Amino acid sequence: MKILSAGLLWTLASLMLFGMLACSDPYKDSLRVGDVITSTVPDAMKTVVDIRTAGLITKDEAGNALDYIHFVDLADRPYIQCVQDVHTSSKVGGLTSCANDFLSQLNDPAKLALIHVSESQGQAKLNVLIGTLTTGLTTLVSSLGGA
Amino acid sequence: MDPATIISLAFEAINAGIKLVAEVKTSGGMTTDQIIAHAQQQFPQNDQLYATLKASLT
Repeated sequence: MKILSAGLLWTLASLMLFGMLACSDPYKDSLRVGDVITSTVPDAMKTVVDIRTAGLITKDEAGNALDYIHFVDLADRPYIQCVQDVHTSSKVGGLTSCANDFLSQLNDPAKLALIHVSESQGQAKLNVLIGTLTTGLTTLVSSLGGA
Repeated sequence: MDPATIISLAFEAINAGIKLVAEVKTSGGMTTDQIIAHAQQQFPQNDQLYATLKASLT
């Protein structure tokens, strides 16, 4: 069953979503992704607590997962600022750079290590949760076309 | 993990992604200023929620 890991699920989701996002306004779409992630953070944090309450992860694992989501939230702030700065400067390729920088931070192995848990079902649920936070960004980068 | 759980997680993931993309696609529904204001308003709330939930873990 590990073949159908959460990573594969996200690949599937990304493939389905690839190309769905037609950027009518790359600046607004870039900002909106940052805003949606900011708005998603509370639900993500609460879900971690729910998973902990269900006994699928330990207290320490839940704490680490909360740390990661908080880190995502912290990284979202400079991303939004970056998008605004690029919009002001009209720098070509700047929005894509902002999104890629953000994604790189989210995929930092040291940070991702925070969301490794021992129980497979708990891990799968956490992966779904984290994937939700990054799917929008991945799709955005694909749709920006280098803007 | 049983197949039903995997399928359920897959749909959950895809639906969440689609919802996110749909939100992005409808960005025209908010002005840029509104988007920024909304994000800024959420930041301190998220910090507070993080601190509260972290402290509440048992």
